[in-house]
Amino acid sequence: MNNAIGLAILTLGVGLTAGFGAALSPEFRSSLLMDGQVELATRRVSDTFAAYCDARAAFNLADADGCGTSSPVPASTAAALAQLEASEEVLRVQPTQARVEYRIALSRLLEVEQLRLDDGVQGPGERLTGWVSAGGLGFGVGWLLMLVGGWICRGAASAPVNRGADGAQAVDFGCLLDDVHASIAALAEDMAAHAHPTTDDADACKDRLHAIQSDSLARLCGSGRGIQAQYGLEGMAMVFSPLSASERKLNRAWAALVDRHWPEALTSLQAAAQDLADTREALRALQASA
Amino acid sequence: MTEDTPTALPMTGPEYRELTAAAVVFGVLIGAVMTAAFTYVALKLGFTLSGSTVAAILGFAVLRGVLRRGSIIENNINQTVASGVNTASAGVAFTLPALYIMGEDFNVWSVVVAAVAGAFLGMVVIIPLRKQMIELERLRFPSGIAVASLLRSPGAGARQAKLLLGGFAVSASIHLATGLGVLPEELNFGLWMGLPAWVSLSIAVSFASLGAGMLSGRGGLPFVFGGMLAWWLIAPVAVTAGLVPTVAEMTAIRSHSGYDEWVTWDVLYGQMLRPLGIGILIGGALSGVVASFPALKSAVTSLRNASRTGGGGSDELPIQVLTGGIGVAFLVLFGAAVMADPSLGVGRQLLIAVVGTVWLALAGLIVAQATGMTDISPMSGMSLIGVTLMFFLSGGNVVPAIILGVAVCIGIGQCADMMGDLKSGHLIGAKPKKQQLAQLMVCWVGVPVAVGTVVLLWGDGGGFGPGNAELSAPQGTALAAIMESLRAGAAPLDKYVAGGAIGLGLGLHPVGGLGVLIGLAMYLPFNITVTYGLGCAANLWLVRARGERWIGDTLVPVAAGFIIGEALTSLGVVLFQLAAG
Repeated sequence: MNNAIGLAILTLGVGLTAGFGAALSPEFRSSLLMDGQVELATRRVSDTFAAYCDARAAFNLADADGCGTSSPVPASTAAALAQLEASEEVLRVQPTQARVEYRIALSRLLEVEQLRLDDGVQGPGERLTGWVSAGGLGFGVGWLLMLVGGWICRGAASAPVNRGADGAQAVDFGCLLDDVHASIAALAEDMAAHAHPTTDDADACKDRLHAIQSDSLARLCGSGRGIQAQYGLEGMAMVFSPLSASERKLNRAWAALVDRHWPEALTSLQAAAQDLADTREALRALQASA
Repeated sequence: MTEDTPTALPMTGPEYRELTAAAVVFGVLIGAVMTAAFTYVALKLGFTLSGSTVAAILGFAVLRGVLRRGSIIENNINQTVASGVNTASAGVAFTLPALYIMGEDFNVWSVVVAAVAGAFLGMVVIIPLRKQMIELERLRFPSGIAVASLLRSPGAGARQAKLLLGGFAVSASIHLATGLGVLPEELNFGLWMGLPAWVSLSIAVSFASLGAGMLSGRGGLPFVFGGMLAWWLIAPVAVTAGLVPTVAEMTAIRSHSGYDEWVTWDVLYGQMLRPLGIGILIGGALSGVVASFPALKSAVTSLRNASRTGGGGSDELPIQVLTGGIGVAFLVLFGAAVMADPSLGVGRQLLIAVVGTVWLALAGLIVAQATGMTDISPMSGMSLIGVTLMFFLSGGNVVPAIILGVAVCIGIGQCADMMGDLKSGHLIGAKPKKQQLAQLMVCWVGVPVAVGTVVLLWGDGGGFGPGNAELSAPQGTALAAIMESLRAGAAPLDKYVAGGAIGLGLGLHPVGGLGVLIGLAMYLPFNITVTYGLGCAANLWLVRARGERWIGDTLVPVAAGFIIGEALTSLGVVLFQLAAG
């Protein structure tokens, strides 16, 4: 229940902080408005220019004003507009209309470019202070909610420590660990007893090992959060360091059996059994100190 | 690998093959070829490809098929080496071209020195994080699982091999169809329903993302939540409430066509969500370091124990490699800062080297965590922050900023790559010490290959960049544009600060990595998140319906096939596009 409440408060907090965090200061918003106008006006210029060139081509007019093979349009908008306005070429209606559209688009682009120049660029410090004054309060409230929600969830997650005075979870983990250890030790003993192993023996051992890995070891390795809740992160690290090492060595034993390298498989299994014994010791030490 | 008649197995003989000359030499060869090829691909198309899967398959074919002597673990070393060499392709191709495009005068050897330092730094900072991320946090690293499934396939049985191949076939067919334009790259339901672009209702047609979600399961859900928060709440509210420039305000233009696209990608994504996501990633990673301090302490203790036993009896690299490696790499980075701009002054050059080292370690942690949890790497965002930091520390000097940015980018790539390879290694039982030694030996090799490729392609000038139809160098062009905007004084500090605070606050929640997942979701376009989320939902449903064992035996090989199929088909499609001009 506490976890659900904490999660709800945390979600609300994240929503508020992300929303207000993403907000733009009024100054930066107006600067973006200028950028947007320039961006869309530039696109409009490209479209009208393409339409103008198409119209010229449709009426078989000679290339001019940057169309086709004529000299390219000047880079600056003002120069491009001046060049177009200086032209005295008389055209038929449709190309004329296209040229007018193009000229209007150029003059609008020039206007917004000038506005943007006047507007200037906001530096990082200005952006930060602008954002704090625009969305800082909402962000702060959201952040506090986020902390409260996180704190409640943290308390709920550590609740098993208080509840589990009987150590039920640790016993389950310990029992499973003993089972895995016994199975691996037995498999290692059986393998050691083979004086002349064959490929069939390797396959049989591999299948036995795979069954232990997928049935019990996977459950054991998947219970880290429970151990962490019970003994803290440091305690979990003490148990999971040898446990993970044994998991890796069992994987190595499996690979060596596939590769038909019996001695390596046997050595890895024995080392894994020792790591499982170390895991048991670490768990015992934790239980004793709890 | 079942023989018809049982044969006796040798009880003595050669050691189990692991770190062998054949694996290293062949890995370097594959890696060098991939580095040159992928650098070219990055300059042409703007992205590179992961080398692990390609290397695993090639290693498989040569070491086991042709030489008939490779072990599963030797293949892992080969793939670790090849992908470690190839890491340089992205790091160099995304950053160095910007210096050429901007027409800057620089010493190319300073780039090589910085990049080599970055590669070594990336390698050594990951040493204590292996235990933390793979053994304690048990992050998924979906691509690492996919490569391990591939390496394990000779012994996993016919059923799992069929599932892997089936997943591969489905994913490869679909990706081929999207790559050739037969199928769309996304299913844009919003567009079909006539919704504006800022109401994101689209799904990326990517079986690799689906497979990554299927391998992540419940752990990936906060990622989906972050995406929904960004694109289903913040974006529509911001537009409809007029928090961003509205269409009615576009007074200076007559036609408003293109407004939706502009406000979605340039404003909502580019100015709000992406920088906020980067900030959350950084804050989340910082709080993660604080929260997992006891586990990190345990990892460092384990390394100290390895040193006491001389390293020989342990599978860990000794702590001296970490401390010595950081020290040497820091000195080389300082040397690169001196070479990049001798006029900066010793104090500033030292500061650049210190901040570069610290940032590389933190960014490496972020990228490794993000790939571990979702298989998605925010490398470009972390490199961008690195370049921005260097830009301000160097007093607005572009050359040292980008040169040190190359080092950071390569180092971050090394972290993510090494961690994925270590995950594969864990799943097949490789010794981490041998994997790390192998990659330490060769991590510098890709640098001269990638830098040389860029220098050769630039030629006498104008070999790539905007306006070049053959090689437009999209990432380098984008970085050059960002550097120009930084020169003009623009940097979204407000969003980084807000995001950082959110990430730090999320660190209080007991589930680790929340900040990284939510930040990553805001950093990415939503269609990828949705596909990934569908994979997570499928995993949750199947766990409930079929149980955990079924997931391991059936879902994992299928999902691995999805990831491998898309990775290899991407390479095929790129080769086809290059051949077709």
